[in-house]
Amino acid sequence: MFPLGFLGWFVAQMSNVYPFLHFLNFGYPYMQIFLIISFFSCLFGLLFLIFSKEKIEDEYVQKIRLESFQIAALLQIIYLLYSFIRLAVLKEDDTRNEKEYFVFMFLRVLLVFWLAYIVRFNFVLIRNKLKAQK
Amino acid sequence: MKNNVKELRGLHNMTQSELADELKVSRQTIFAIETAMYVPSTVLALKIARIFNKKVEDIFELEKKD
Repeated sequence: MFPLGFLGWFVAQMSNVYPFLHFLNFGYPYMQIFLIISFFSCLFGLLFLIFSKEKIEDEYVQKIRLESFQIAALLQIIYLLYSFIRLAVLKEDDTRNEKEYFVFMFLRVLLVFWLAYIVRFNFVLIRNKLKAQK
Repeated sequence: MKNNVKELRGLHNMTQSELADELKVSRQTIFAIETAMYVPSTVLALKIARIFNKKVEDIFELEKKD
């Protein structure tokens, strides 16, 4: 649900920007409906990913979870700083629509935390599973 | 911290999965303990000791750096 929703939302957004994807742009009402559905399915998918538990949720898994939260929090702070630095460095015409820029910036910063958490947690878990199988 | 869970497991003819099932943890947790990637909690250490009929000190050993 998450990857599909994200892909749909991303491609739909890109169809506004890149000419070779213009054929995907179906016009005002349909495009908005598609964007809303794909974005919310992406968010709900993320929610399920975050709150899903392992089959055996033992103390080692909880430790990996905690470590992943710490790393994700650190990455979020770094990304927040990067976003503000980028804002300061950007030319004026790039930040014409400041309100929109800030909304998406904070959305990105929020998502970076959860994505970093999911990626790190699953990476360590799968790596250990593969190591244990050897 | 060093431990000899792997050797004791061998002595008792147990696989990682069997030990994991008895302790109600995942197999990768046993693997992580055996390879010293993870130091188990006191509760888990006591449970391991009980399964092997040993004292915790006989299974887990402090190293100089600890």
